[in-house]
Order: sequence, then C-alpha cells, then structure tokens
Amino acid sequence: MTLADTTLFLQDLINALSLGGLYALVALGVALIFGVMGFINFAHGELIMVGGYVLLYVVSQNHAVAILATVGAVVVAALLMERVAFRPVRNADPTTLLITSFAVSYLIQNIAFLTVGSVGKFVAIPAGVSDSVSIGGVDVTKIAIAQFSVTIVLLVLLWLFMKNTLIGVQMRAAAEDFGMARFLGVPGNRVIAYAFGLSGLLAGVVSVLYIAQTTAVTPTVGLAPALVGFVATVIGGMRSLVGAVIGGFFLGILSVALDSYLPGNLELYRDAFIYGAVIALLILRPQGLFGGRGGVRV
Amino acid sequence: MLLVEGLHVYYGQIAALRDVSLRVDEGELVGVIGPNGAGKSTLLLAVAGGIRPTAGKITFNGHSVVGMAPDAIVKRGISLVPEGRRIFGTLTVAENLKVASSTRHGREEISRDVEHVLELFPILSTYLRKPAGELSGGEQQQLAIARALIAKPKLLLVDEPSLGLAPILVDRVFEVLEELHKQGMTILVVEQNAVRAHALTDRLYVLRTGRIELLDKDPRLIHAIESGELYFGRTDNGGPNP
Repeated sequence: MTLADTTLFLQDLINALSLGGLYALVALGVALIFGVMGFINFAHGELIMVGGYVLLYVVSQNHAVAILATVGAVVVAALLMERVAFRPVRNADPTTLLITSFAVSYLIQNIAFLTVGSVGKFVAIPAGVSDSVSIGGVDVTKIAIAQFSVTIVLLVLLWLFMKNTLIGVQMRAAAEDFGMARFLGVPGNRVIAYAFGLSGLLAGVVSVLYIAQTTAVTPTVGLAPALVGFVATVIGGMRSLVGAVIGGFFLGILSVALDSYLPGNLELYRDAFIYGAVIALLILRPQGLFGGRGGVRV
Repeated sequence: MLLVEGLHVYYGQIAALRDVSLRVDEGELVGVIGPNGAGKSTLLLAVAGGIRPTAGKITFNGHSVVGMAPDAIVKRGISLVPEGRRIFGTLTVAENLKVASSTRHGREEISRDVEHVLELFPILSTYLRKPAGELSGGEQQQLAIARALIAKPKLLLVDEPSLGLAPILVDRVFEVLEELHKQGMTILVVEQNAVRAHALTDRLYVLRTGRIELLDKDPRLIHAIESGELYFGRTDNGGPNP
C-alpha cells in the first residue's frame, strides 16, 4: 500500500466514522422510543427538521447560544409530541401508535410547508466550519471531526447516564419489558418522558451537525437521516441501544466504503447495494445483530 | 387486607374470570390452584393492575385498586412475581434489584433494602455483576422474588413459582416463600402443582374455567388432587374424566 493509498484510506475511515456517528445518534433516538413505547416514531425526522428551522433563525447568535437554543427547542418539541399526541393513545395497539406517528410526521411537515414554504432556505453556517485541517498528512474537515467527537462524547455520557442513574437503569429495564418494569413500581409517565426528552436531545444535536454540513433546510430535511436511523435500529435489533449504535456505524462505514470502492458505472446504485446488504443481514439474523431470541432458562 | 368480589374479566368475548371472589387476610399465605387456562394468572394480573376487570371489586386495605396503574399499585403495597420470572436479562443482578427501588428514598435506604433481600437469597450476592439472563432458572426465580421484595410489599403476589424448574430448585423456592410467610409477609400464590400448594398454604382456592371455590384443608383433598378428580370431576368408573 502506497502512502497515497494509506492517506486515502485514513480519510475514508474518518469520513465513515463521522457519518456513522451521525446515523448512530439518529438510530439511538429512534431506539429509545421503540424500547419504551414499542413503535417506531416516524416523526423523528420532523424533530430534526424543527431543529433545522430553529438553527436558521438563531445561527447568527453566539455559537453556544445557537446550539443550545436549537437542541433545547427540539427537546421541548419532543416532550410536547409525547404529551399531546402519544400519551392519549399509549395503551392502544401498536398499529394505532404507528399511524399516530405517521399523522404527527405529516402534520408537522405540512405546518412547515404552510408557514415557511417548500423552498429550501440557506442556513448561514459560520465560515470555516467546513474547512479542512491536516492531521499527519490526512485532510479532514472540521465538521467531520466535530461530528465524530460529539458522537463519542454523547455516547459516553448517555452510557454513563443509562448505567449509573436510577432513571437510566429503569429506562433500560423498560426497553426490555415495559410491562414488567411497571409491575416493579417504575413510573411509566416519567420513563417515557425521559425517553422522548433524550430522543429530542439527540435529534437536536443531529440537526446542528447535519445542517452544518448541508447548510440548507426544507420541510423534508429530516426524512433522509431518519430513514437511515430507522434501518440502523432494525439492523441493531430494535430494543438494543448498543445495537442501534452499531447499526448506525455499520451503515455509515458501508456507505463511505461503497462510495470509495464501487466502480464508476455502479456508483449510482450505491443505495441498492446498501439495502441489499441490510436484507442479506436480516435473512441471516432476523432479530438483528443484538436482538434476543427470548429463550427460557430452566 | 385483599378482598376480591364478583370479579369478571373478559378477553373480547371470552370469559377468563367469572364472578370470582376471594379474601386474603394479613399474615396469611393463601393459594389458588387450577389447571392450565383456568384464569389463575389473569386473577393476579387484575389485582396487580395489569388487566382492567370487566366488572367486580378489588379492594386492598379498604381502598379500591381497580383502574389504578401497576406502578401506583406497587406504591400501595402490592408486588407481583410474574409467571415466567420476566427478569431483565441484559441487566445485571444488581441492576434488576435497583430497578425496583422507585418506592425507596435515598441511596442508603436502597442499599439497606438490597442487603436485607440478599440475606434471604445469598446465592444472588455472588452474581451481582452478572447479567441476569445468564442465571439458571432457579436463580432467576429467586431474583424475581427478591426484586419484588425491594418495594417492601404488604402483599406479595406469586405466579406459578415452580413453573419450568427442576424439582430441587422448586424446593428452594418454596422454602423461601415459607420463610417469608414466617416473617409475617402476606402472600397470595398461584400454582399449578396442587400438592405443593396444599402443603404450603393456609387456605386454598381452586379455579376451574374462570370460576372459584374455597377448599377445606381436608387430607382427602390430596387424593382428589392426585387423582385429577379435583380439576376434572369423577367418571362413572371412579377415575377422572379425560
């Protein structure tokens, strides 16, 4: 392997980890809700979109203020979504919850179409964010470094929270068997509110990182990352938070690898290759990478 | 302590419980036996808030618990050890115990309660950091009971504690229930193994296709249980109905 090949490989690796980190954050947000509520929240993409529009209006502020305002607004939106749309139908069957999430998704999207229009808006991300820096001869964009570092810091903080706090342990228990957790006195409303709050926090961070790269926001901006997040959650095993993270990184690495190594005439079919690999994986492990088979021990 | 009166539970058009009434007084260990599908687990789920009854009353220490959420019922003092244990397999043994500590206050109180429960189940102390899914069935059953005790219940509901366990492990689980009873715990246990339940309990009810009746603790009951006559009635030739 020549020096140029090594440099190219390292650049691809950093890009893959950076993209995988973003997907992991989306997948984790989806998996948190699936764990405690038992349905995929298709309105997760709209939370990312809400963050995008908030960022559009606060981007000229101090960086920290803009980031905090965006993430905070998405957390509030997620909590409102739970309180107004999902809590009244919580005890309904999963189909009702799923349809509710579609309805919420379309409602928020259409509110955006009516209020801000369908034309994409340019978000004036400060100059320099997309600049590259050279690390040991490898050119890496600042946003890729930020994306990967933020993902790692957030994952570590979330892991510490889930491992060491009572509510974190209760959320993990609820993700495994929500009904049983309630029979042990775990307060259902509190656990679900925390799950939506954390899911909103992750969606808010994804908004900032994603819009910082695309520099544009539309009412459907959240659909693409959310779709990848849903698939990553399925790959990981639905109720497994670790699985969601691994699924996210798997898709990120696969996307970048195919981008780099597919022959030119096949590049157009990158997504077909990705989802083909996902189907193959699910044929081999229908429960996902970390989904349990639920055997009984005697 | 617990009074169930005229309880009806329907799953759609199918009656799981019909006009079921029973009483559990403070300090008693009461059993409910019956064949598969008789409605035993449904009865416990209704008391624990997992199922809303179609009709009837469930009162605990004079207050109705019908329509209350399961976590609110735990706060009132009723804990459930469910059928099949339902331990959180990916959580460690210590975390399984921690989950149940919502009703306790402060780290000190929680660790004191955990220590107390571990005295009853010393085997669990050696596995605190082990994922609960890796325990044997008997150990999981002990963990399921230990977990329910963390909330310091006034009434413990135990569903099929012997289900799927090797006989030696069943002995240990029943010893634990007996020990808890001796310590003054009020227990309502549902059990398919009628002979074991008869030996363990102060009073015994039998549930047959959704209907309940109180049985005398008559020694002849053992014969009726062993012959199958108790659940299925007697045939003309003296044997149980098929």
